[in-house]
Amino acid sequence: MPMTMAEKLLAKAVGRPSVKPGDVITPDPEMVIMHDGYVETAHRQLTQIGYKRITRPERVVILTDHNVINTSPRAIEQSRANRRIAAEWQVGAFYDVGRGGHGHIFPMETGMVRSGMFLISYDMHCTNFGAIGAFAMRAGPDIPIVLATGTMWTMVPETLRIDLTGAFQPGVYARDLGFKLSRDLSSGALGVEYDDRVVEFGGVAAASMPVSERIALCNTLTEIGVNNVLFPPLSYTGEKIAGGVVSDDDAPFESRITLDLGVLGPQVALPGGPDRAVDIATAIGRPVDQAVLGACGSGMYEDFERAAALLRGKTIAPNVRFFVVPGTNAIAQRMMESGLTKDFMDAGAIFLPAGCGPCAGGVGAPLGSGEVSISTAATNGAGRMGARDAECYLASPVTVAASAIAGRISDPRKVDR
Amino acid sequence: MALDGGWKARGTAHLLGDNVPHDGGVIRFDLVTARVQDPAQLIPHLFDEIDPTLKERVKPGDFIVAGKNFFCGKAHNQGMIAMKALGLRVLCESMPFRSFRAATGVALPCLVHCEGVADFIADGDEIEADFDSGVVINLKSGKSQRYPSIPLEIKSILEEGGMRGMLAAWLRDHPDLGQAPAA
Repeated sequence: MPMTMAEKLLAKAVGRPSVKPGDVITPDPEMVIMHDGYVETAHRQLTQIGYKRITRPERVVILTDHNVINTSPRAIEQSRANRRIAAEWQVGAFYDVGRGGHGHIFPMETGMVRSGMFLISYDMHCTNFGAIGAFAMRAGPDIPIVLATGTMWTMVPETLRIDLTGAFQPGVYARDLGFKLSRDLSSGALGVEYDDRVVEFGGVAAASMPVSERIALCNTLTEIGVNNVLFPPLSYTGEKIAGGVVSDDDAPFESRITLDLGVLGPQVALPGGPDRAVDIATAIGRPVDQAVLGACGSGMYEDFERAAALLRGKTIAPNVRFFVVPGTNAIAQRMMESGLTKDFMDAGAIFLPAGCGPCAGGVGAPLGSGEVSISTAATNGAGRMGARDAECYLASPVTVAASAIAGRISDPRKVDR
Repeated sequence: MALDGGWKARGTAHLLGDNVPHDGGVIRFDLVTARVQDPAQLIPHLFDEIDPTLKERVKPGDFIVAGKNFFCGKAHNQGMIAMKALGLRVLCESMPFRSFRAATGVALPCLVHCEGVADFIADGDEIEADFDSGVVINLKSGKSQRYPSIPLEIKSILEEGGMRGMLAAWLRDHPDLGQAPAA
């Protein structure tokens, strides 16, 4: 029976030869990942019912990426509680404040999450792992079920296959495509269902897309309510994987469309959500108070490398606070060794520790009332990065860097190099 | 174990249209962001933004009959908690999976593939819906339809009372999880 990549990965996780959309399953995860922000809540819920231990704790990984710097007494208490709970539950691995990095990047960097794996994660942006061909299912507030029973029920989703052809124009990146696709899927312009669908990218341009770009695409689409985003198997460092799990040629995709990368220009997502994307011309000139590079969708070395290439030898506008948030400690280390850190600091940037940065509720770099920011954050709803009436624009790393230099939203194609 | 109120129930149908969001439709968004979980605080604001008097017209066992995409938007559960506390049940043409999962978590029974349900049920009609078989009958007109039932695995979660009940049942079956691990 022909199957999609998602169906194959889920079938393997339930030990069946096949599954089909609509099947209710309880797949067995190889790993369960939680971030620092929900450990106390899950622990309290389970303790109230009478649990004193969890099922298969050796598979559970807790990473600290939301409150990497404890900027409040509450954050200090939370970190303390997480340490106590990690020890009490005897989890397989606990990455404390300042150790490791972002929970949607670090597990791939270390090889904990590999192509072809099925895992469960608390946070919705675990779809990042689809960049290397791993299927991470978001548990959200149902994570206590996973901790107690070792799994949770789900329904096999339909798959939307998107074949990518052509190549991006200069100054255009996967993050731009992510915003544009979010808009065109949610508006119905593409005429295909996307809600709770797996979006599987294929075609020549997807196969050759580097992991950093794949992550940007996986990450951005997650915000509109897709079930997951998958790419063909690839190692984190870009090596092809022989015999990896891919869709059959005659797999039963619910719908299938083809997109030409070459027709796309830079995009900016207006405040409110990544699906509020517009061509950059619409947003150009808006003065910004803050610019941020990093977060789960754009925290890879290559994201900073591209931004630094545009920024090198220039200084940021005097009215801008410019924060750089490497995805992991290893990425920060590599930036230091290659000179990128110097490029950013010479330009006037401020470094924050590896992790979510201000995308997690403004931690470390909040926005004040009425302020305007442009960033590579995962999303931009009201209050996401501080004051509820602050305006959060989203863009690709190069557009954010161009805007930091100009002090206003700017087209990266028009910056002199 | 049986579903609270039984799988088959009779009540009044209260019709809503398509694309009723959870946040800012079923319940006010500020109650969502405040993470209110107490039904007593939520019920006075249920359906405020779509029909402020509806909460006074519903009685336990009644049905909210919605169109496509009921509970759309982010999968929060405050409105579902209030609906569950009022003993309501849901029939709708479709529901985003994340919302169906959240409704199951609070044990709110939802039959989510009732295509064309508004074609034979009008607002205020007395109906009978069997969530076990999927048969929905308009007691006024006598017309009936059979819809896809709730998957077996989800029936058992509803019977146990949602996530909390399911976790309590799991602990009863796995008493070792109530013992602290050796240091």
